[in-house]
Amino acid sequence: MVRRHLLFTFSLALLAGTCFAQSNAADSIVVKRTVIPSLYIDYGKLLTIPSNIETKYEGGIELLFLEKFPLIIEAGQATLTPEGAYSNGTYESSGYYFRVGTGFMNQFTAKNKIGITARYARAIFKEEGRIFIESPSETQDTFVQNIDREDVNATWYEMVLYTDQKLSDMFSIGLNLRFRVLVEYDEFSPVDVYSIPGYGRSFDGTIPAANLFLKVNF
Amino acid sequence: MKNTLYILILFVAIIACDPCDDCDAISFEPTVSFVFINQDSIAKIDDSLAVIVMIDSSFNANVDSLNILRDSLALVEEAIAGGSDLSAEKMNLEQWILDRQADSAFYAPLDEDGDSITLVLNTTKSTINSGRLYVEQIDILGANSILSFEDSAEVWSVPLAFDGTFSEYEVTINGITETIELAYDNFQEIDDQRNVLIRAENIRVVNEPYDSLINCEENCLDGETTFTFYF
Repeated sequence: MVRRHLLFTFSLALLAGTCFAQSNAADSIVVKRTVIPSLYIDYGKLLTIPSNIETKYEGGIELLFLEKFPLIIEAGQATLTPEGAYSNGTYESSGYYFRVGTGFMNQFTAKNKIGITARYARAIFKEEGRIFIESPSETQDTFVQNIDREDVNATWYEMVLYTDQKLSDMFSIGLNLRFRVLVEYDEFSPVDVYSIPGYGRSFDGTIPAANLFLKVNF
Repeated sequence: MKNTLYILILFVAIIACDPCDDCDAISFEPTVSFVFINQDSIAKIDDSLAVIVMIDSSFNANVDSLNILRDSLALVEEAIAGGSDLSAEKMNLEQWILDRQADSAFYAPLDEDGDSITLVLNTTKSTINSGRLYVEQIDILGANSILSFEDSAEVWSVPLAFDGTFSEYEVTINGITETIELAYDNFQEIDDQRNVLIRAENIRVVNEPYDSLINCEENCLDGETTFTFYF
């Protein structure tokens, strides 16, 4: 796990360094607009719709100031039913999450941008499930426990490496590589929160992730 | 650059896998072990062993006495041959030798069988001490459940309730039924396979008809706790 995260962190740092190294060369290309608004959707998450494990929707708004400094607001909804949550039961976590952040972005090639940003994220979600325990001696009824939690909160930070490719003046596609660090969540004992929409499993203090997006630039 | 991104995407996809091997209900309940030692039978066996030891001791003492009497008789006969008038002593010694011989005739067969009887009794005692016996049934009161058995065993596993803090068992051995009461605290835990389990801790006997021993001193856990009852 540690090696995995180190690899991911190293990749982020490597690409971020490349981004900053290119910044001076790109400074003199065009006249800068003060603000460039754009909308984007995570089309990779739309692929989860047919899945019976999870369904996710995510999109965002970006205001790019001086073509270098983005202000980003993201929102998403997820319904997660990981089969490995509880081996002897059912489980579903569903809710909304949002992220806000800013950072630095720069033209990498004529069609590509690259950037690095930091995000604060929060999820508000609910958990539902049922636990089943049978009596091997058959001397008592099967134990059934309901999990029913509303308004569960979680917060985390993300370091995001951004890259995109311009398809036209209006559209571009790209990738966000994220490194998430969980700050806190509403804990329960002993059957704790398992999946946090927008983040991942609660017992993973740090998680790498990736998003594919289609962006509409205005 | 692109290759790096593809590798990272693949890497993230792989670690995002969340397989589920078995999502069914688990069959598990907290249990404790009962061992029953028939202390009355052991006491009777100990009495029998003591009798055998006493017989052996008496037989040996009788043989020693007989030897001493025979030696004394030989000395008396030697003295009589030398002219001493010890005929009365000789008669007494002859009578005592006859009495001891009669005692030896009584103790000898018992002493000869003593070793084999001792072996059988000690084997039986070991079996009883191991707890191996036949429990006819354990009735879990309040649960309307009866555990019936067909074979003898050394350890009897009895379930604790999922949602209780008290269980009462009626144990029937050799047609005699006695009641054992246990108290405990339930708790939940998640094992390595992500099964949510009901466990029990602080297990203790609150009422019992027998003397008992428990194999833990504090915070006795299910699956690890054994009560040994002496009846």
